[in-house]
Amino acid sequence: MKDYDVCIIGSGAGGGPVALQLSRAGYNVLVLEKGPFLKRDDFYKDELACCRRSVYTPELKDEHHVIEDYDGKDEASNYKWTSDSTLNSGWDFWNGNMVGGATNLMSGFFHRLKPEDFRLKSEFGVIKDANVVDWPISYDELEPYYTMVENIVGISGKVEPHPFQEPRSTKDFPYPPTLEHPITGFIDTACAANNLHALRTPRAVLSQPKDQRNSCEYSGYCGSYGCASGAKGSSREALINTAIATNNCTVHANAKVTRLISNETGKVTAAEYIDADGNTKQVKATIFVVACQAIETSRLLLLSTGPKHKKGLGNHSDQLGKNMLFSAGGSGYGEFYYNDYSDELSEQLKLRGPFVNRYLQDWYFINDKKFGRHKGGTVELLLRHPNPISKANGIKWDDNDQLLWGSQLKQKLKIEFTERQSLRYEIFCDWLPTDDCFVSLDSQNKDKWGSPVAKLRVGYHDHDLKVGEYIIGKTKTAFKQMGAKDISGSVSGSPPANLQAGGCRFGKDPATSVLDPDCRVHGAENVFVTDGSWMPTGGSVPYTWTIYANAFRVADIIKKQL
Amino acid sequence: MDDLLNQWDQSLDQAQLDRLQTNLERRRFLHDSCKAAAGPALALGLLPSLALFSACDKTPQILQAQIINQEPWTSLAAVQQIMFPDDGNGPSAADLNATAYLKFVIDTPDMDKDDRQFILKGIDWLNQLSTKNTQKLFIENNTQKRNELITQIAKSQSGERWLSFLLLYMFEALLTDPVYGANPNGIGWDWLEHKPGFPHPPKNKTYTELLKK
Repeated sequence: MKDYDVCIIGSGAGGGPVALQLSRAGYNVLVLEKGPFLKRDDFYKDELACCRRSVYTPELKDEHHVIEDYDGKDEASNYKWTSDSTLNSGWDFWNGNMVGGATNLMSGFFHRLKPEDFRLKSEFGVIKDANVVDWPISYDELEPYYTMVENIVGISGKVEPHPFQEPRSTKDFPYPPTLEHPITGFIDTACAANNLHALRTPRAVLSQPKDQRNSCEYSGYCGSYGCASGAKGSSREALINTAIATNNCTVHANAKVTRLISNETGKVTAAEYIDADGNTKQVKATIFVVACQAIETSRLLLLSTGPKHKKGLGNHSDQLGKNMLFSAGGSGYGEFYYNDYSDELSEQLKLRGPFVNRYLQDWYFINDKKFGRHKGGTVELLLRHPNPISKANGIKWDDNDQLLWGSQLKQKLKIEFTERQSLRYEIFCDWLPTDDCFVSLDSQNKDKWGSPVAKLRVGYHDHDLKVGEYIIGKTKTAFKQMGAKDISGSVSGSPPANLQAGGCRFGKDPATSVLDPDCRVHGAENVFVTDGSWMPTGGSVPYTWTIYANAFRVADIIKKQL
Repeated sequence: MDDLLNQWDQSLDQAQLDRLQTNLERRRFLHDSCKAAAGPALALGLLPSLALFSACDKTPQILQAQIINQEPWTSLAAVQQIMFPDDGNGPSAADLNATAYLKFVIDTPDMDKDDRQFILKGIDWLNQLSTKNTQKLFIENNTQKRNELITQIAKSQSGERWLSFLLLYMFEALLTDPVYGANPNGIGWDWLEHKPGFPHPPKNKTYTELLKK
């Protein structure tokens, strides 16, 4: 006897769309979420709560990961790997442990993929040691769902023509762009003079009220903070709350799912979870949807062995956890010193509140005489994050790495906080899938519930660095044209922990994939995965819009199956 | 380097020092921007669960005045005042209620025990050094001598790490929301022309309250 039609594990970008669409369709939906149910009136602009204490993420002593990082080569030129617990290193891979998940804390830069991103191998060919494949679906199949996200989640923006503009079924965004910081004047002028396209960033932040949600209040503290106005298009605000209002959706917060139980046919019959009081429970459903964010989804499926899934749910071909993706690229700053400008312009530069709202995709596809033809990336522009404690703690050293204190320290603080505005750029490139980036179960470390933690190998492909370097060079030139000084930038092969995908790639062939093109687990016909795990390649933008869109697509597939 | 400082360094093995450094530098940049800082860094594992001193009957100023007459807070307050002096350039440690704030942080039961012990142990070592070199306790010295002693201990690895801890909580006292009792009336924000976000957390929505959910 089933308890629910659908049981969804995780309430973030992958879980929210399914919960909304199926509860709206009249199905009985349960959402199991490991974190607490924080609501709009729990979110304030408090740096201690958001960023310096473990309020939105687990304490690492309770739940951590093990990271296998590159450690040079041995005598035979094989890569060496060193394991370390994140409890020791402090390298935290958790992102938003609460109803709505990491979408509560996102900056909300929303970009679609391009049609070419769905067929990267066909477009750009084989890259040695990279496991690039074409997707089993096309952009055209996902396009209606991108549009659905624009309307249901609420995306503010303006379509502007540029060489790599992806096809759209609607003329423009449903909400006008959010308000813009005066620094955009520097950006627009320089880019126009240099034949670059400074585009308005589509943003999952409401510029106008929508239903029970207010428009943005322009506090200037968006990314890493929960939204106090409801404007940010988190899964909680835009989807879960509406799902609950149908009376067909139940959310159990503080419910940690430990495994999925499957039978002799391979189907999952129940999800086992531990509630806030430490009680172990089981829930039965017709359909199960897994959306725990990529690392934890692979981990849960690896833990969910059964009669037909000896090595983990859907792991018949040893593909589960493989080909993890992050976002390659890099980042840097350019400085605008107030002394270089009139008092009026300086005051404008000091403004805190409106968004920069500019991005460049002039190098999304690179065709350079010297560098060649490559898949490139997106350059996102934003102000330096305003968190002051983090900033102060980062400038307590002098040029010789000696600790500062006393009047010297106070003078430096005063200067660093008051003399300039910092424009940041972030470059998003494809993180090529390789055999050296994968999730497995650690044999020694366990979480507070006694389950093995995820072990993540974080190898990257050298090609990613080359592409990042190319775009950083172009971006630095653009920053110079803007009048920025002290322009910095660096490319890194370290994975940004908040941009996770892969591990359960979808495909037509069960021998090379974990999910079928509908994101259904091969060999477990009633289990779907809807976070970013399905992605075989990630594109060169943040993943959230695509995860939302695909989850709406899968919701339609589940409706047909129910 | 002074023998005492060598002893201090040698009393902690490298693993302990590394662990303290990790705790010190942990801070969440998870979503400081769209692309969170890559690489090992970050997450202060401190989860205070005691009532905030700002929520007590006594004002932070009264608490600050009371505790600086009790050791180790008297000595810690003196060190903090060296690190963030009243020099005419912005608020001093005392103006920020920095000692009461530090007590609030390290008195919380969930604070990392090693961190807490290290912060308190540092005062013992500082007084040992002071007694050896000046035949006086640290607070019995004048400002110039106190500065010299701080400069001296900063030359040891452990001493520099200890001062870094004190600075971290000084920065919190300088720039946190006043609901936590430090940065009274936003004097730290005003000094650095920092525009805080809004809405500000009320007393029933501080992080200690949110952690109960």
